[in-house]
Amino acid sequence: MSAGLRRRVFARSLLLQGAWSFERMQNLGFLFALEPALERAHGPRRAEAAQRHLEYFNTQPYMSGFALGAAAGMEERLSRETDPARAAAAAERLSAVKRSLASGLAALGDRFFWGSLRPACAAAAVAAWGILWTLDVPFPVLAGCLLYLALFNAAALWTRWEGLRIGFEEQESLPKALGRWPWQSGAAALRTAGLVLVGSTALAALIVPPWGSFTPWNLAVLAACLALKARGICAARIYAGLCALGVIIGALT
Amino acid sequence: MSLWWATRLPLLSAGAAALELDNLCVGQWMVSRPIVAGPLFGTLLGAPWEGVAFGALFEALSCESVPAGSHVPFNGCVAVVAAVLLSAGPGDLPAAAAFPAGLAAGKLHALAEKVLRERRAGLNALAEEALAAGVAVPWRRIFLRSLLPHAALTATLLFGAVALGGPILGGLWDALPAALTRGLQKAFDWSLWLGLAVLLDALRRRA
Repeated sequence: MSAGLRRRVFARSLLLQGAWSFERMQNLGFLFALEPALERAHGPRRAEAAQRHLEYFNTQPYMSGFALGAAAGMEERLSRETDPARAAAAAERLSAVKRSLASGLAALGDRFFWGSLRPACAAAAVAAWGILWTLDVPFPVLAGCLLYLALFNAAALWTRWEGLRIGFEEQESLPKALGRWPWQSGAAALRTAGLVLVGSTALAALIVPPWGSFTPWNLAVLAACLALKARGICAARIYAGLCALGVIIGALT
Repeated sequence: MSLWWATRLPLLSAGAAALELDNLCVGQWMVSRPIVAGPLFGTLLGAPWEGVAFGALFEALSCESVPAGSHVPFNGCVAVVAAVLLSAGPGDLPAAAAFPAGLAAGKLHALAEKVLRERRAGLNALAEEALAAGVAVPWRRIFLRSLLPHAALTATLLFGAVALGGPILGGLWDALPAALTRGLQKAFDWSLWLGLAVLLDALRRRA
């Protein structure tokens, strides 16, 4: 994939979810991002190829580069096909590969980006605020926000950008290539780092002055919230319960 | 509401609506996450640490849900901006009242967003018709018809929450018995522990 094409597809992929609908989800965004690649592969006869990409498509947005790269590579190969029967078979294969990639990439991306990186970055920002505020460092609020954005976007933008190249090169063998990446261990390491940061912040919030608010009530509330979350109860319901408990205590005191 | 606020609130709502587009539609650079939007709006209103507190709290709460597939979780950006504007803005609402109001605004936005997403199915027809006619897909029209209603919804909801909801909630808060406001204040003080518990749970769980 040429650098110019890669840049254009990458820039357009930032609107992947710009026209998200329940019916076909990211299909319009996917076609919009892929259009420069279709133009290059099929020239003025790209309408038929574009129709192919109006079908349902949905994946994790930061992993979309892999699917876009693979689709661009397969379209380029397809455009060189002269036998109509083989071209039809290649188009069929492209759709199948895209479908399977979408769900596989979504599973990997949801676990890594939403389930691990996002809370780990939040934990880092909260810990940074605590430390910077305690040390009286200038602009602590801005520094915490920038840390969060830098940590998350470094991984997210890199994956989007590199995904295009790797997808274009690997095409059908992309799942095998992705299998070599340390998704599982990376996600586990991020969660562990996040746990350490949140745990330390919680401990500091409980015992270290000037935050120190260690009371049996606070400890009991934290333990109860953890137990309720472990049972899968959502935060809004727990908060409603805390309100009810607070009102009862307020009425009794 | 003072003249200062009457002129700035529409601007702040429009700014928040533009920022909120990052949540799903454009880029997803995470600038719309509560942990960034909260401190940003707090700083704009001269209450940065209030923004940090709300931002961290709503960020933790929104970490419990994954925006996967057709699931539309409560909108953390709308929730935090509403809470910060209500608390540090013209209503000067106590944080204990602004927090649940922000949660409700975030949930309301998610419900309205579902309707918008359903209506966007019609945009496929625009692309299909253009391709069938052999002309270029009208991308500008497609994205404007998708993004403008979304931004308008966010701006209207935030403006309404602060301009109308603020005085109503402020009056209600003043009218509530002391035992009730004390209780809600207590629950808000505990919400720090709830936020930590949600974050710990999100990290502990295998996503």
